[in-house]
Amino acid sequence: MNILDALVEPFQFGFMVRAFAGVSLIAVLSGIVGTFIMLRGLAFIGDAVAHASFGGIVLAMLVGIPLHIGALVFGFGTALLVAALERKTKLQADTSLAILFTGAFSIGVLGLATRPGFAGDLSSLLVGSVLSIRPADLWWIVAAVIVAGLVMMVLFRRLVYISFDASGAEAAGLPVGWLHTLLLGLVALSVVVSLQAVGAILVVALLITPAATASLFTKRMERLIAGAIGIGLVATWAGLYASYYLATPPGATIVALLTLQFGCALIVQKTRERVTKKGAVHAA
Amino acid sequence: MSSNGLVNCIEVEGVTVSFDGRTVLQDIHWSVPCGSAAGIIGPNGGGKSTLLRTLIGTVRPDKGTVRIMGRTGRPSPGLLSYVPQNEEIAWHFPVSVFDVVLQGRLGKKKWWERISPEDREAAMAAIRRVRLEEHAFRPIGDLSGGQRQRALLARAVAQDAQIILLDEPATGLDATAQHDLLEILDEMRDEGKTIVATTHDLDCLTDHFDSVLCLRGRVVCQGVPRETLTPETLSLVFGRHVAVFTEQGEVTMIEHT
Repeated sequence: MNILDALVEPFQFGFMVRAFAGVSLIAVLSGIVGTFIMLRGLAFIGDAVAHASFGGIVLAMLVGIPLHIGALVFGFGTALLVAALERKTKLQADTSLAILFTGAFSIGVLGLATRPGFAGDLSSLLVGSVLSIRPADLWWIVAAVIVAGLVMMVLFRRLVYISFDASGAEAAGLPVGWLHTLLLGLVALSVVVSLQAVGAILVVALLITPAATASLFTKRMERLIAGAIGIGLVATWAGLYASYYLATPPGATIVALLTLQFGCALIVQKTRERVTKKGAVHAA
Repeated sequence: MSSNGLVNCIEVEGVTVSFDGRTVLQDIHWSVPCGSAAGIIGPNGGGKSTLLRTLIGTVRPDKGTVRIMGRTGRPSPGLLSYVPQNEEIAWHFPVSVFDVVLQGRLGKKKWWERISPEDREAAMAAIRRVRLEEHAFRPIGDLSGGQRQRALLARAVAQDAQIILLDEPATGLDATAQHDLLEILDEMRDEGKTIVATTHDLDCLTDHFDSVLCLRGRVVCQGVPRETLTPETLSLVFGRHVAVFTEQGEVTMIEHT
């Protein structure tokens, strides 16, 4: 088999086409929203949203409503509650997060226990099953990309302003509270639609790692987002091919590749820094 | 006096603020004439930053009223510009000086309005105004402390803010950077802007500010700096710190050990 055949072969299966389409869209979404999550230090909120969504998914399953709705309500609800508790109480954000997401997660486990037949779904929720992305899941991801894209097109500079200097933005008259809530909503939406691909435990890596890798090479927001999208696309596509030919779990393969990319980028960046420094010393 | 006939652009009457049952500001009466520069001094925890936040409207007083340009309630968008303490800003954010200065144009826009070519021109003019044109497209995080402060002032210029509030703008700056910053503030005041800055540097108060407010939870003294900052008032403000006069007649602080 030549390389071209090898690259094309997975596309004869509908589930692989959906998987490639799904991860590509998620890579775009992660590049846009993940960059803000990383720069604002919201990774822990993303992680909590993912775990809390699990409770929402199980409840939605039991009640019989779309799983994404349950996940969004629980995920976004957790993010909002954390923000509210931080404002209204003396609790640190990470303390209220730990309380809330474990609480929501426990609801999920309790829910699953009431229907023993669902136990098999547990592992796919936790580690994801990108190969079983259904057309409806794809539409959710498309919708999330459109929403995130539109929000960024209109409000990008305002979101950067409140992230760079919240008090300055507030004094100038920007609705900082609303914009922050909107950003949390985007985080929740991105996490929830990406859950299917890599599951609750690994989803934060998909959102954060490409942005973190790109941040090693640029100090411009637009390039950072573009870089994160590119890095995410390479890792997700390579991960899917690898899992197809090596029969490895796709979600974990993608995340392992993202981590590997970050590690290599870090080595390249540090080596480059050292060479530049040495050059400067010699020049002096 | 401002163009609309106001005498005082900032009026604070009987303002009391408390957090968790602890009174941070008590019965503050203070006003700042339009087009003047006012300094606020006081020990850490004396309520300087809280007073600034009360002016912005993010802290609500338990008692009393704040009038900005003669009006109570949240100031209208774009009226105020606030330069917070250095550590409150995410300097690592990957934005250029130009991007930061453009932020000044957002306050007065509706949420759906985009940045226009006029906004870009105004931002470049503001950058030239604070003499940062060489650095316009550098990442803000690569600039020195003084240049960063000037970039935030350029943002206030681009915003065309009438009142500029600065929290400890001179902290951590070397003498030259402080001088450059104060020179720009002087110019802005001379153009009719109202400037309020908290500071620990008493020397600059006498040369660059028209009035001073001494805060230690309550108003300890206020007035023209040269007359107000006497050893007696300063030891009342700073407690165990003692004020001395240098040979040049400038006031400076030494810590009483």
